[in-house]
Amino acid sequence: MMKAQKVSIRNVKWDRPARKAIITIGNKELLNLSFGPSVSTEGEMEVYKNLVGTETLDHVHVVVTKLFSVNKTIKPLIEKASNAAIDSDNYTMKNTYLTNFLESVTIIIDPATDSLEYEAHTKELSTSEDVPFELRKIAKKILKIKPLKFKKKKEERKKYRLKKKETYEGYWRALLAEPNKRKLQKLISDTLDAESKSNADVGLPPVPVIDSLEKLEWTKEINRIALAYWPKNGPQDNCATYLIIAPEVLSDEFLVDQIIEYIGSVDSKFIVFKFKNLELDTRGKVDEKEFFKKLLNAIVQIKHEKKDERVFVLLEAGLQFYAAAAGGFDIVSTSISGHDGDWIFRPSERTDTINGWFDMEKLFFRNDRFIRKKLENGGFRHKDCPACKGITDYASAKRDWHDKKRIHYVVCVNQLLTRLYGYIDQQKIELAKSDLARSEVSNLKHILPLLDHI
Amino acid sequence: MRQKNILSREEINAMRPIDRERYVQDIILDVFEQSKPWTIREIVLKTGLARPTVTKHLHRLVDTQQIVSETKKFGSFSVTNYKKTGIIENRKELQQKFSGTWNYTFFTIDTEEDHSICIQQKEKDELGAEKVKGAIVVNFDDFELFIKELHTYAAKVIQK
Repeated sequence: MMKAQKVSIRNVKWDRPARKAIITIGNKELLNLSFGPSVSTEGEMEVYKNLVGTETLDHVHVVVTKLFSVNKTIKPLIEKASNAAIDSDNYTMKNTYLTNFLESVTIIIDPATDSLEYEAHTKELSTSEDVPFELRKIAKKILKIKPLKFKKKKEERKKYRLKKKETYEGYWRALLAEPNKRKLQKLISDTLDAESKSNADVGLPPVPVIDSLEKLEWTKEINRIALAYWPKNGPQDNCATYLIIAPEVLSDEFLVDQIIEYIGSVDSKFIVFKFKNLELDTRGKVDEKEFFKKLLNAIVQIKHEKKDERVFVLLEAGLQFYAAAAGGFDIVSTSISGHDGDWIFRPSERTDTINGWFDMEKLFFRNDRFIRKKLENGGFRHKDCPACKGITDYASAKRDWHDKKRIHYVVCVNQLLTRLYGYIDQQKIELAKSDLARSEVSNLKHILPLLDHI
Repeated sequence: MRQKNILSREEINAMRPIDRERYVQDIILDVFEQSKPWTIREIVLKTGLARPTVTKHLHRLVDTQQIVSETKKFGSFSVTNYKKTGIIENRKELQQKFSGTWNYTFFTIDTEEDHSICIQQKEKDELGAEKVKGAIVVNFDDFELFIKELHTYAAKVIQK
């Protein structure tokens, strides 16, 4: 059964496209603007938990995880929090640290149905017991189509892609074609139940990846049924409208207009977007940037029209997180390492190197060469960063680099959002545009709405 | 708001029984957002649900004090109207942890005729979702007497 919670937005202050406020979901509070690092392993969850428990990170009180990863991320914590107790005759001490953590951090669990189409995590989707049986079944079916080795590369790949598309689309089409939608309803309620079992504070329905008008219509239908399923023993505010969007949609103005029309008409307070492999910073994406800006403009307008009663979330924001937060999204999320591309990770060919250090001024990830140079010239002078504090030379940087770069990234994003918060407070959000202009992703300055004249 | 999301009859029938119960109750409760008396027939027309379904849920809602029923007699005929319990004020969710999955909510109900205190008994399921399982309404004027009786009774029973 899903947990219906009241969502309220108070202490609102606007500066053109950006809004600062306090969002309450049930008993949990978070700042608008917030960053939700997405964690997928036990180690990443541990890094996040220790960081939020010891550092003052006001803008990072949201954590995102995928449904197929909850057995490694959230569930062990829930289990520990409820089991770890010291009992004596009349005294029971629960694990208050973990209980407090679970009661204060907003948890978003992504059903990650996009992993049916994007292959990096299809296997995990097909094997996780937390994923509804129907989804696991179709994931297994999709995995079976792929040959172990493509002998005639081009031809076979094309054939495979077509067959996969056919299976994937056929699955959703069959679910939606049933007159009583029994199977679809079961899938929706099972998914929402599975999220609730892992303490999710916002309900995300299982939706297909939108790359055509037909799939947008499917998404609308699924979101409608999910909202009907949400219990009304309180306000049904925390059932989100969820849209997973393929990157090519951003070059189709008609589809973007349809999406804008849809998000303007929905009743749910949470509207969650996930753009797959969003890379607006690369050259040549003129239309994509323009239409993304159009979407941001619409978001700002909807928030005003609905009297601030809407919260917009962007999952897998990638390098766009800063521009998205300055341009209208209230909660932004990237993976805790900062890399969101949905492809199988290949470590650097150069062995014995360390990469992926986030440069807060350039809003970009630095490589080994830069890190070495930086350490030769006095090291990382990053104030209040527990990861950078302990780095004195290259050898010390290499120790636990995997954790250090994650801690550093989360601290950086928190500081960037604190900076944005300050800009809104002083009515100087145009400074966010200057930050972008000075960065490696300066292209993104063009997507900020309502700041054209600056 | 909820009326927009009403599912079709086929879709409702395809729901799991537990979800269907909750959904139908929510839909009926939504009708009472308009504070006027409703007859069963009107609710059936408004929601498109079957009469026996509506009747069953109305009885349950009356039992849990979420709505009240009033029967007016016209000679040998009688008409039963259902309406919202009254203006609910001073709602207080008790923060104390009671044993098991029970919790209690206190609130006052103000209607034109009287003012009462209502105590709803709620049950939390394994996922924390609450459901009203029962309720009691005591008039303001009778409350002191009620507490005295409860106190005396409890003292006797607990001593034993």
